Amino acid sequence: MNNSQNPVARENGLVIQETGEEVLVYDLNNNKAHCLNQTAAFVWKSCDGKNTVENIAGLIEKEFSQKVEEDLVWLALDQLSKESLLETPVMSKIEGVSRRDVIKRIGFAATLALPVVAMLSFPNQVLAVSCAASFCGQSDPASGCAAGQFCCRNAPASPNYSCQSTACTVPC
Amino acid sequence: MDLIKDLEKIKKIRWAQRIGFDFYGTKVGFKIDNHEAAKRVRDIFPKKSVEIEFGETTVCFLLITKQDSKLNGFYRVEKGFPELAYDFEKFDDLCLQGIELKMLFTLAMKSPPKMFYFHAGAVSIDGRGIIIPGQTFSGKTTLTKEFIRSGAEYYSDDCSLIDSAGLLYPFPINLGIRGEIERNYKSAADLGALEGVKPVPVEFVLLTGFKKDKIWNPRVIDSGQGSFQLLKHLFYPPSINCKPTETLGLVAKLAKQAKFLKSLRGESKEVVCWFFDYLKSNN
Repeated sequence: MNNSQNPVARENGLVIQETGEEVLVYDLNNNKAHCLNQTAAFVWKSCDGKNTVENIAGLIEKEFSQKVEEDLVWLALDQLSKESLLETPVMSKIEGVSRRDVIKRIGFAATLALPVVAMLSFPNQVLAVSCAASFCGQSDPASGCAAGQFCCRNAPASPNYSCQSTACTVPC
Repeated sequence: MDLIKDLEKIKKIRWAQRIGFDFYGTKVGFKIDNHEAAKRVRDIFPKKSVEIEFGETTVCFLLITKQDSKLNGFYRVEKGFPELAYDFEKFDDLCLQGIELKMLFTLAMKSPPKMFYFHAGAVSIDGRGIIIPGQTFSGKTTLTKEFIRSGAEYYSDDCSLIDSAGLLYPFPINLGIRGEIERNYKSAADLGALEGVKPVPVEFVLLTGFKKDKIWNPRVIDSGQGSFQLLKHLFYPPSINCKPTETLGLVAKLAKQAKFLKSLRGESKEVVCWFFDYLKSNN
């Protein structure tokens, strides 16, 4: 864990696509897609190993013409670190109850959107190929899965369907 | 259940027909062991597909209906080995539905880099594409049916095809309309509707789902976030692993060109009336 105040954005193993104000990232290492909102994207792009947290806060102020606290930057770094989008994880300065207080405080004070890193996880292709080829992925009326559930076969030896809350990720 | 059955027995089967189709770049072939079954399988070929020689196909299915009961089944051939894709006791309408679903999965799995399949209904009004993504039982078919009954052109139910330029392609599979016990499949023509004939740009994405007594009150959500959430509705989610650059590119494209409307809904008629009025006043 790195407590350095010079965070570095990760590049290896990532597919990056800018879309207007947001940045989309696909992590080839763990099959996760991320959507960084404008604020999170700005912080991430500012993580060049030279900028400190204080510098990044200053850059945000300059870009968006409003005063921001370093805690807003830490909020972004916290999320980016948890999603493995930084070269080395940073030690979070915002944890537990104090994190909620920080969000409330920043939220009331700032007109800039709080940083958000949305994430979607995708099943591994190797597992899902055999699964999707056989039974899974969609709710099968014959299986009796409840509304909104996906039909999946949960064991090679089992002929029975099982119902999952998300698309099947279990190997057949 | 054994996925790989007796390979030697399968190799000895005398196939009644070898048929194939090309659907927007995915070339699928079938070996079928009896003529009657082959005729029924042709009925579920995607309507906009072009029939091709079996030798030109790159994906192969085997449909075995007349051998011993342990061997009968629908197989996908992967790297020379048949993998059981759908097991059945009787080759009937329900079985054909299951086979069609597996075929759709394969189309999505083997789609060319610039084509993307989404779990969504799709219609078009005056050349403006509307897609309705959602999980099973969210009410996509009911809403799609209401749109086409009101004059929209039918593009797809359950599985929509969009290319990297953000164009929605006609893929008019039969609509699966749920009855009390089972699903009945009807074509757009059965419902008195027109089918779309040419690709149209996706201009609207309706993020909705049925909830009893809910009033349709849509808000336009941030396109970037809306487009990102569309990834949840990839028909074959692992396809993003094969073409992440192209998939994110499509997401970015749709974020620029489409409006994302979000609201739960009650009766589908309310949504459709609202939509036609909205299009009239925002032409």
